Amino acid sequence: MLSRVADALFWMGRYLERAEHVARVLDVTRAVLVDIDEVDPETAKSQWQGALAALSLPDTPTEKLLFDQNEPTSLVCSISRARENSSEMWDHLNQAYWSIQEAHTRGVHESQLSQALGGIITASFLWDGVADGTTARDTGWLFLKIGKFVERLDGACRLLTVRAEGPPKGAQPSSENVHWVALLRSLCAMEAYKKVHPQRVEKKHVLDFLIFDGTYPRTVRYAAFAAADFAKRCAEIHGARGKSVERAFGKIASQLEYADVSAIESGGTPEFMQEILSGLGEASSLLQRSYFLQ
Amino acid sequence: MRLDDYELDGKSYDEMFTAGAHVRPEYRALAQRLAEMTPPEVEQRQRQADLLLRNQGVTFTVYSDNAGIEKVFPFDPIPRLITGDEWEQVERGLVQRVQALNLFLRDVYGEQRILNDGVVDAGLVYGASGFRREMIGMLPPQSVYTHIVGTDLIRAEDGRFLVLEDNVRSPSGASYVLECREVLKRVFRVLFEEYGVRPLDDYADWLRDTLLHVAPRASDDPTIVLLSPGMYNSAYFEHSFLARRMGATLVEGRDLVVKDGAVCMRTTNGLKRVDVIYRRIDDDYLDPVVFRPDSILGCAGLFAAYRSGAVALANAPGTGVADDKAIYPFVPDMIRYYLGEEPILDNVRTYIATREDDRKYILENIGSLCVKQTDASGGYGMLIGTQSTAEQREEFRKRIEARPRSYIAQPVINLGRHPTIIDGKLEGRCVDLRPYVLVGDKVRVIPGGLTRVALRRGSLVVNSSQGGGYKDTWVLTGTGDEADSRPVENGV
Repeated sequence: MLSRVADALFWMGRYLERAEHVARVLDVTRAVLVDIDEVDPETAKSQWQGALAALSLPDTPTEKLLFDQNEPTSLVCSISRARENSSEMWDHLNQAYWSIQEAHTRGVHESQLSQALGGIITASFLWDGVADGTTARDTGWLFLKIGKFVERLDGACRLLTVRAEGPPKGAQPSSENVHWVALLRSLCAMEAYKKVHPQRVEKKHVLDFLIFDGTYPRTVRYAAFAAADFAKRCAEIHGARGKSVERAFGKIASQLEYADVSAIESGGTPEFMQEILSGLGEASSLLQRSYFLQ
Repeated sequence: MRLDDYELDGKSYDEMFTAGAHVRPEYRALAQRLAEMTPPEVEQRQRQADLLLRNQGVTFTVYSDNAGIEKVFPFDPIPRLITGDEWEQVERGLVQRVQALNLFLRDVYGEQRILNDGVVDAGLVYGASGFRREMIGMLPPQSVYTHIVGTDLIRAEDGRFLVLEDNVRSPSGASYVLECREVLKRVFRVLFEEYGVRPLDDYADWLRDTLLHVAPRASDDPTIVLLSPGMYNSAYFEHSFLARRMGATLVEGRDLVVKDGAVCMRTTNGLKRVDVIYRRIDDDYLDPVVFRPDSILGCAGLFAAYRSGAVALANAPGTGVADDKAIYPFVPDMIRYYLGEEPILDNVRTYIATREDDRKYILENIGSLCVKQTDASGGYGMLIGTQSTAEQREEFRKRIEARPRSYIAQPVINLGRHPTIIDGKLEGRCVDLRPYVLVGDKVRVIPGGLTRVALRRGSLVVNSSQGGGYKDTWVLTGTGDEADSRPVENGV
């Protein structure tokens, strides 16, 4: 496969995952604000700032977040780059692209924003389904999937870094529950969590689930293992040049496998997430050097 | 939909109606279907077609003020019909013409007999912007210079097909032909059942065979690539479409590198050798070492690899000399000179500004002529005398006197017209036809081609960059008479 195309597919996987993640975090955070804005404005403010920080977009107005072509993590930018990078699945992405452009020209009103965000999430799901059903499991597929899980891991780690400490000191007691529920929802994990922990939502269990659960596809551990698995399959096709990449992703997976859970419980989550993120940065730049730059 | 208020202009050839306003026999079944449809039904079909095209990404990019705008190609759902008999004639004419053009190119870059014999003026050849001295003495594989040709045909007032220009460099549009056939099959399915329409499905295979024909290595599985300038090119949709249909790799200049005299592409598994390049970038950009040094679209060393025979290019560099507008008037002579035959398809009468008599005639009659710049295309650099202002005419007179090599002129022809849906009504609009010719182990012509429509009322310019649209073109397996309409069942 052409290096340039593999590169494009890797980034397409990343951009689509990013678009979905941004849409969900914004949607969930907006819903949280409705619950607590009246009773606890301080916490509300910190929730919103936390969300922007987790998306690496501090102090960005909503309009920009959604429609600014020049903002690399904006929704329209993610989708249009993903579309530019696709050729195989052009049809489908093209629809998502036009629907976002349409939303922009019509002007998304406050009341329609949730609908627009939901539309992006649906488009991403739909696209996953189409890709699953119509794409050959060849080299391109592997790069697409690595990109997807690298981005998912990245998004989850950043969100957990910001949210693991709980609501700010002095917050209303009711905000505590809202905070953890919002975190679960931001990773689309509420129902999955409740199946394992049906009792009242609790910090310890939330963190343990979102980081270490191996069965739900949006946890840190799951994303890390999936990325490692696809990197391994990619190395099998490419021989020696893929070995170092396989190792780098494998290391991240082992970090999760053999993590000191008690350290997490006593407040070490942000540090642990940063550790994972730095390993991930190294692994993905190694991947790009090995496969994309000849 | 009413047909009885359709206006004929009394001058130009109408594809559907005779001069006496009778429906031509081959159009009867189509006309009846149209007559039975209500305007909302027609509109609904047009919307459906637009949607299909947009969702398939069938777009092109228009450039103005340095900003590219992506547009859906305006599509008119009423097909243009050509009977089998008439097509047979066109097909033979095209094959003849393309054969002569290839012989001309071989001669110009080889022995130059036609120049020495004084049939074609050497000054015009060397002065052509498409002439490439780097090609002199280079015989491409299988002696083919232009592999893929798009010839623009128009209907004269008397209904004859005339050749307006030959596009022998890298003509675009074939993907639109294939895509709009797919769309029309869904929008007007029943009509296909009534008419026997020659299918287009083989085009991608033909194209692949054409390229394989020149593969340099005795390899079981030669590597074919389509070299594109990239996604910001106006025809990028076509590049990606054709590459996918042919199973070729779509590459850009930055994917290629010359190593040990061979052209290779960069893959995740290292370098892979390339055998045939179907290039969709201009000569100037192919290789910065030989042509424009500032080009980043091509690949350094590519031309040397080509000359050594390590890689094949389609089309060859330097073919532009054969479709220069000042060389065009000589094509009928080329046919006589190389093939000893009379041309089957005629040219449009053309005045060459470098010839003194012709220049005089052009300057005196500029108001009734169409003046064209010899190295421009896409409807740019053109003056239509009958639709011009005194200032524009004066401007062109000056330009012609200053640079006669750059101009030719032709009588303004009332292009043939075809009923087209405009604001829910049928109106006549000018059309041309661009069939595609492929030169491989044999010469093949796509049955039909791209029918372009000038959507603006009274406009003679069909180019997409100038507000043109397009139609599906049906070559009928018979005369079309047998497609007499049956009772309508569930709409069209």
